[in-house]
Amino acid sequence: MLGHKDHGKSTLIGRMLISSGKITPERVKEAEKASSEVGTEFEPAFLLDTFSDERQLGMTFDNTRVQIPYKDTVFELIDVPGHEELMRSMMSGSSSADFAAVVISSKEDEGITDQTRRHIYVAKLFGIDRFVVAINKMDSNNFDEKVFDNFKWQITDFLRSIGVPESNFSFIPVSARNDINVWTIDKSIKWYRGRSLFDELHAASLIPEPANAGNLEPRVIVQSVLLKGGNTALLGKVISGKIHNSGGMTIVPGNKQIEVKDIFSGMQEKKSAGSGESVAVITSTVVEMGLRGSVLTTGKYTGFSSNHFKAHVFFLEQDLTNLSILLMDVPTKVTSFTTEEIIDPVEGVRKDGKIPVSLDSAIVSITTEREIAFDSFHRCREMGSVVIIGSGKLVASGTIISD
Amino acid sequence: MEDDIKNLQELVNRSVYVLREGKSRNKNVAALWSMGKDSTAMLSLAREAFLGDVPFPVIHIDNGIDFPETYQFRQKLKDEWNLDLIVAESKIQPELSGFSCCGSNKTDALKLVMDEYGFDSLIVSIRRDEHGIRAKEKYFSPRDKEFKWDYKNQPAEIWNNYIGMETEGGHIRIHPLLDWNEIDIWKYTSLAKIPVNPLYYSVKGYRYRSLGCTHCTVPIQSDASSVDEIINELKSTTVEERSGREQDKEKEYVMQKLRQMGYM
Repeated sequence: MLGHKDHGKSTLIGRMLISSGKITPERVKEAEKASSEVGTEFEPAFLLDTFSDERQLGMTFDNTRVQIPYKDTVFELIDVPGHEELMRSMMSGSSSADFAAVVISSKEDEGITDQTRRHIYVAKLFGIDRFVVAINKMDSNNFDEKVFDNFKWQITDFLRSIGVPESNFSFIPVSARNDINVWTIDKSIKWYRGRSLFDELHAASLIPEPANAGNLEPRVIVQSVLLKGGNTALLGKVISGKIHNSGGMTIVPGNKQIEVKDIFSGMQEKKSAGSGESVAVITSTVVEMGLRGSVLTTGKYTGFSSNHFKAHVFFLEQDLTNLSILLMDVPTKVTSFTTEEIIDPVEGVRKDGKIPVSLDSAIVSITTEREIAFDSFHRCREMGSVVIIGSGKLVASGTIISD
Repeated sequence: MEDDIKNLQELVNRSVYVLREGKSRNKNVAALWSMGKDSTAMLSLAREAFLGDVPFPVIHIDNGIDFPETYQFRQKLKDEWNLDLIVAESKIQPELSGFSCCGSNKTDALKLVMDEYGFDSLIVSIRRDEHGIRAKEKYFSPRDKEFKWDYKNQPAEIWNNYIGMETEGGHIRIHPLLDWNEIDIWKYTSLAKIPVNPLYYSVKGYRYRSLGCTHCTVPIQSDASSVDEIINELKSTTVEERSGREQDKEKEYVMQKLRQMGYM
């Protein structure tokens, strides 16, 4: 759930919780009481913003996740803070989302802002390519079709310019506070012939995701090595293909061959295991203990194993001293870092200069201290998403383009 | 039903992943175990993650007034699962309840045991759906020396990269069950055939839905006397899970204050 602060993200999710009947009357009562205490009419956002200071300030501090069942599915909505200084939370939220709803206030003086565009740009960079755009607070202009259309054309232009296909976005006029077009369509708005927000989200959930790692050779990310009863177990997660309980596997980087004796998923012995499963691969081959961040594979490995890559990242800090990267949660020191091109995320166009500042996006070229296994993000998300740390702080994050 | 199992397997896989990350990233891990359904399910997940063993000590913060059934259950599972159990005694103050009781006693007892053993991380079996405040929690969350939770300044978790933060002599909370719902816990309990604390089953028309100590927990009206009956009951309830827990409701923002102070 993306958008500029105060455009009504939390209010909208609060409204959705109430409409779905998922929230208990007890919690609604508590939010009603809290609303009157801070002197406002009933604020659905208080169902999410449950901290006393969030309510007094009227702002969301960090991501809140709630589940809402609808028809044959369950949406998990991630409410992210709209404030510029909380982009870190927005990035965390986006990295775990399948698709996005963008909330834009149609109120005079609110509208499409830099932060609205920045959120969309970062979401797209983080692999989201389906957007449902809710034009909110339409009660402030009596659901004026011209106002709606104006926003629609502007956002359509922006989404097109950053490469989102036309079939993957939609627009809905809503009023979260007055519960219009959220769960059901208000028929008195004659010019709007589309679906409700819930139905539009449901439709977006049915658009196929971009193919990811599906057709790649088997890969297991190694989390740790466990010695047990004279055997060695490589603990990890299968991220593509199918692995089997016999034959050889290769550890990347290094190309060491191991002989597989058994596969466990939980406490069950298994003949094979597929993508998404947490497994233990038992081997009789002697391996070193420091394999965390390595990848186990069979057949021809089509990813990269190198000490150099290029990535498209979004910057939060500009302090580029003492750099390291996190890839598959494993830190590696950076020995050389160059910015090749800066892209303004608000306009979606190239910017002059080679020194990125906070809230810039850029194509960067990175050399690491040692060889690591990775892949491009569009082929394999788990091995293609990278975080850049500088002097202990989160500097930038984004996606790997190539080696 | 098939969808149910698929969804459950996804949750299991994610929790196993988080438990393994927690163990790999920290030097000295411990887990809290209340003998309730959530922390018992977490121990079962740990056994799945580490080939049948729970590879860290489990701490019970014992105020001496838990139910007799809970103590029996503790002994039974300690033996069956070969648990390295640490009992941290906490004093109760009969004149206090809820906020003052949970805040001052349980948290103090936990601080002492964390110091004594030098644990740098603690597995806590909270779920996002339990309480509005818990919906903002992360899989990995730093707490300072005083156990304070700086909820305004939480580290990022981008994809599966957990960006650590200085804990300044504090510790890291590991939350493997964040994505689970109450009903998922029971479905998993059934699927993995996990032993159940008998207090969750109905006796004479009442059962406990959420377990605390004998002073602050009240049972709900229910005839559910098996895991399957509990699952059916939950499908139609509109009552909050923790409605029988005093510390959640005696005053506004009690849960926020408790969690800021380091409560579980």
